[in-house]
Amino acid sequence: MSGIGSILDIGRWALFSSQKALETTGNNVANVDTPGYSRRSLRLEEGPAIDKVPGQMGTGVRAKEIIRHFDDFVEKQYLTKQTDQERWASLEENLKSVETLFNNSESSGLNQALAEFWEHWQELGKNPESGSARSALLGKAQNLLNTIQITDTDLGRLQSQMDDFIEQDVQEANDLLAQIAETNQQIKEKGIPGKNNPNELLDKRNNLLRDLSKIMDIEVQQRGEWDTVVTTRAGQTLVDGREHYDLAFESAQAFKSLSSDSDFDGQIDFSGSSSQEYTLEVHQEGDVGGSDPAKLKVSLDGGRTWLKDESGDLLTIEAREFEDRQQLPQARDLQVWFEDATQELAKGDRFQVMPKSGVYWYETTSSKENITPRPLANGEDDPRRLSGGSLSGEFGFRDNYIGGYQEKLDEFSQVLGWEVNRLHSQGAGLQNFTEVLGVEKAQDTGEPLSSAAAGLELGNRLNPGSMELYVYNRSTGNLEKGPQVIDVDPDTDSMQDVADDLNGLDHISASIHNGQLQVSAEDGYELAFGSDSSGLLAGLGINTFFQGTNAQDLALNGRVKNNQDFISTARVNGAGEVNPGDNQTALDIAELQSQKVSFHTLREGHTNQTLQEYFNSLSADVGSDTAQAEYNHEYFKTLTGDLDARQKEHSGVNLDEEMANLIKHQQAYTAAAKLITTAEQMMDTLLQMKQ
Amino acid sequence: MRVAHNMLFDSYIRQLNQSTTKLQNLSQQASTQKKVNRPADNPVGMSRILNYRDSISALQKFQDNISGANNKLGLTDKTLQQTQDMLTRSKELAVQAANETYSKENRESISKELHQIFDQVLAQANTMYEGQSIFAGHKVQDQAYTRGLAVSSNKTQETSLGHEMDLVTPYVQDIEGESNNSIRVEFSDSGTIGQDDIDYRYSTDGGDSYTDKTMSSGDTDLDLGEVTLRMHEGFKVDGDTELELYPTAIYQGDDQNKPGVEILNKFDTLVEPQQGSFDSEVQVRVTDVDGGDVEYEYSLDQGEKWSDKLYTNVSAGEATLHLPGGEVRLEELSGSSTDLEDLEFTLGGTHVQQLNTENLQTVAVGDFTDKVLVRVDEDVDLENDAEIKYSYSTDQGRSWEEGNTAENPTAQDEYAELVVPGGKLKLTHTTEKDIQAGDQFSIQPRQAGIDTEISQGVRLQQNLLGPEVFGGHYKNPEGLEPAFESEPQKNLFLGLGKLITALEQNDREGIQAGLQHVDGAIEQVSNMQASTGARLNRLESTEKVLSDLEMSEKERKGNIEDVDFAELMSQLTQQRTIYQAVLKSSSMIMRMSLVDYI
Repeated sequence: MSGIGSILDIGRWALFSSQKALETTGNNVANVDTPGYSRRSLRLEEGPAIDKVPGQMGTGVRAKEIIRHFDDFVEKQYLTKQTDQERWASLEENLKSVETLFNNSESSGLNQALAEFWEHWQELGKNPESGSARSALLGKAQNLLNTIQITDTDLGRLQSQMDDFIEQDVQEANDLLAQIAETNQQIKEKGIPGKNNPNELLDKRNNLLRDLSKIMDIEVQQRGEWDTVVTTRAGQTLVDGREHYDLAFESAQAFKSLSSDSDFDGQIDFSGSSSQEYTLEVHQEGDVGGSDPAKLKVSLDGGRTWLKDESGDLLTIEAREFEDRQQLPQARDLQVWFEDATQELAKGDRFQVMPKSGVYWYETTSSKENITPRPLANGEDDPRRLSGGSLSGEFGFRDNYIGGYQEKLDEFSQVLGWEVNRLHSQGAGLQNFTEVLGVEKAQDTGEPLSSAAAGLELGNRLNPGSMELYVYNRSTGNLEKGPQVIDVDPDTDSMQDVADDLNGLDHISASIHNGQLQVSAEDGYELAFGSDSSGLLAGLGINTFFQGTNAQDLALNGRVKNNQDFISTARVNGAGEVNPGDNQTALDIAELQSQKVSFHTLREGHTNQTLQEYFNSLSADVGSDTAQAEYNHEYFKTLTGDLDARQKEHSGVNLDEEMANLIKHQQAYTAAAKLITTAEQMMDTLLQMKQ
Repeated sequence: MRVAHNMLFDSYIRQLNQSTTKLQNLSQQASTQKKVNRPADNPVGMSRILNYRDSISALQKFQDNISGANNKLGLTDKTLQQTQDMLTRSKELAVQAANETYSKENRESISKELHQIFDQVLAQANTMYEGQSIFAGHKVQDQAYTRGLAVSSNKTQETSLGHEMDLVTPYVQDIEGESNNSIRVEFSDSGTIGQDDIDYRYSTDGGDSYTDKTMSSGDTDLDLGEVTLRMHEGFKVDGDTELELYPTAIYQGDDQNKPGVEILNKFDTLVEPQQGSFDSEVQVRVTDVDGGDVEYEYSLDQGEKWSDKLYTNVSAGEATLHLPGGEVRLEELSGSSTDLEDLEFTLGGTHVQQLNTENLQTVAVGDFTDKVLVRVDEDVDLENDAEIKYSYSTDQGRSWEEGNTAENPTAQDEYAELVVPGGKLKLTHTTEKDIQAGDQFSIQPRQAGIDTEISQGVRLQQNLLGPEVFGGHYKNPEGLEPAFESEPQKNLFLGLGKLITALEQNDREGIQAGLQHVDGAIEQVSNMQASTGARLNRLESTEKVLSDLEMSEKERKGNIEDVDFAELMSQLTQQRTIYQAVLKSSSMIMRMSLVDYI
């Protein structure tokens, strides 16, 4: 029956629709501050028309579906920018802690400690025989060393703090991946396109994705109406519909990937640590160990470029067993060796040495891929690795920034020690030696001093040259014999050879204890050292001011620390005498302040600067890194802010708008109700006609 | 554009944050008065600020050094002035005493006053600054001079330069014992000390009374009562030879001169400079060799005039040649020693230590102030190769100046001259003719100067050495040698000693000679005063330069680091206005809503 009934029907539909519209508006108003909530609206459609006289007649309104206002395209851009923003935010925050370490005010800091150190050498130059000038110098030197060490320790602390942050981030990422997969599942179950939109679930997933992209860089691809595939920017799949893949933060390890025709059956192993990743590739096939072992080239960027030695030739290391393990270049302490090999290494066999903890992507439980962020030689990010989010910031901070600062601080410490020791070891203090033990240790005293096998930290700084010794009569103090000269060629002479040469001199004996060279004068004699163009004394730590070779272990030579008379201020003069008023060595050391010396680091190559300038440039590095992080953070923050605003233009709730809608829908509701009462009155009118 | 309510609030908060951050930055600048407060504020600026700070602290240190050097040199200057005053007084006294009318007693009493003056000058020479002897070189802990006796004779010879050489000087080994008065020794026999019996007499009271003595052959000591004069064998005396022992001061400090040897007439003999302090070039030649006896002569004027013949003998393959200023030992002589004949060499320059090579003949000539290492870079056969390629290092081998070449004359009696900072290294071959690449030589001048750094890389010697001011004598195990062996009139103590002797001996001619000595000493001390004055002037001007430099460095640092207060204040005001505007506009819009109107 058409007629009044249809009017009632139209009214009913209108009432229902207005009510739903009011509910939607109400939900919008209620969720005005809910993070991640996107504005909904009710899609209305006209009801099906019926053909009758006088023609097609509408059947009212139908509430079709609740639409979520959201721009997927903007969201995609937003995620990309946000991941960069988070990366720089994490860097900025951490770098600010480093900046504090390098903040040199007028009265404190390493810069000041170093300036005071030089000043006190000048002061000692004025009063070389003064005990108080000597102890003041020792105090200042100790202060300088403490400052270096604290800076290095704090850097190390920040570095290990990063491991905790990374661990938490990886856990959270895994959690998010699981939730995203689960949400995908629910969306699939509940969603019916065009009818039942899983709006709340979509919002939830969207929030999860935003959270995930804060941690790492992701790509989100739509599949079908609502299903998604989440991958890293590099392409490793993280979530595929209802499936998700795990990430793991794992400790240092090494892998092999053999070429197709290789029979190699051994393993690679290593000790020590580094902030670099090493890739070794067999360059010349051969056995492990033996007379002609295989040679491997070394890369720090996954095999894109191979390291060269100082003369520009390809740098190779030999495949050796544990007993003859090889030191890897450009690392504080990192050695590799091969185990359990019965077959030859074939050309092209590759080995990855990951001497630090990293994050891995598990494709299956047995197959994993290293996705630890890594910069390439040209400064860009490795495209096969993570490159965004807080994880990249934290890894970058840990491995590149801190690693770089520590490397520079180490180089600074080593050069400071070396240059001071070089001059100090050729000088003489207020006392001569009856015996002196070198503080620097060699691993193998039979190998040439400069060879890696000798394991002498400063061995490669030695030159061919000669060293002079003077022997004095202990009771009279008169010169007995001198100068006596030994020649040293670090490329052929071992520590044992040096000891033998010294034993050939009159009134002098030398012996080796635990890899350290001891030089003694015979009974009734004492000795002093003259010029040493080879650097042997400084290299072996004999008659030196400092001992140690990096920021952590640089210390005062125990001999000097316990007896300040052994601080060299003088030089054995042309008459073979050492005089207390002689200040030449002290002045030479003080002049180091303004002398350019040579520095070499992996990241910067060779530079010639004064020690002060070098340290100051390290401060500037920290400053400019922080400023760069600040700038980038600000830049990406503006971009994400902008994109977020564009998203909110679509999805944000405007209360005024909702108020207007509220009134609009309310009025529609009132009108619909009026329609029904009108129909009812019509009905009543009809019924009264009968009476 | 649609505006969501959250966008509005987000942007209020962002704007407020931006505004407060800027305000906070400005207020930090206001409180520190610096615009660079942490490295990231201006990374390059920070590094430059640190560099400026370092250079300012170095400049301050240099100024500190200068004030120290000023004190030391000021004291030196004052000491020299007082010495000069005493010398002037000595001169007055000498002029008085030279007066013919003065009696022996008058002169004796003047000699008493001169003794006083001598002691006072000695005290000046031993001046200490903060417990350090200022004229003793590096041996600051001891007194520079002690009292002693020296010998002169009437056997002298004039050099072409007009100076007198005293022929007894090379023969004096030591004087033991002390005497307040001068001692006069007269020989009455002819003969050679150590070979003949010789009669002599001595007087310790100015010739009033004499004691007779005889010296037997084989004996070289002269017994003079409380004093024993030890001689080397070989001094020839005759009936009119007279010796005078006069007071002098013995230098105990550090000295600068230890010569290398340049052999002119080539031999494979090793000539090693030994004890002594040669402050001028001494040329020596062996004129005759008879069995173990060696006859030689020396010249202090580049061979113009030669001394009387001196004698020594060879024992155990060694011979010691006594010379004024010290001794030279010849080593590894063959038994017959005939190969010594015609040996000719020059003492002078700086001794060179041959490091990886030996048995080349080397000497360094020049004015070296610091140690120089020389390295030969390509193998050289000194007999055939015309060129020597070498490098040198002035910083103990830390860095090498490479790519130098020297011509090699190849002949054995000519030297290749390798030019290095401060002078040149001369070398030629002996039995050894090859130098390997990498062989090194070290030139080590004997230094006694105490330097201080007065500006970057510039050092100034802040001490004078006793002998260059006061002269006196050096004592070596093998001899007693005067300073200024070729120019004795510069020797202050020697002059005073001789003057005192002449007065005690009532020797008018001696007084005249002593007067000349004092004049010479006055001139030498003025020269030294001039050199001290020049250094003081240099300190003064350097200090001025340094303080100007410090000012300008501070200014440049300030330009980067310090805030412009006026600019900062206007920025602060501006920022405050902005902040207020943000507060006002946002609070106004925040309160508005459609709800209020329905």
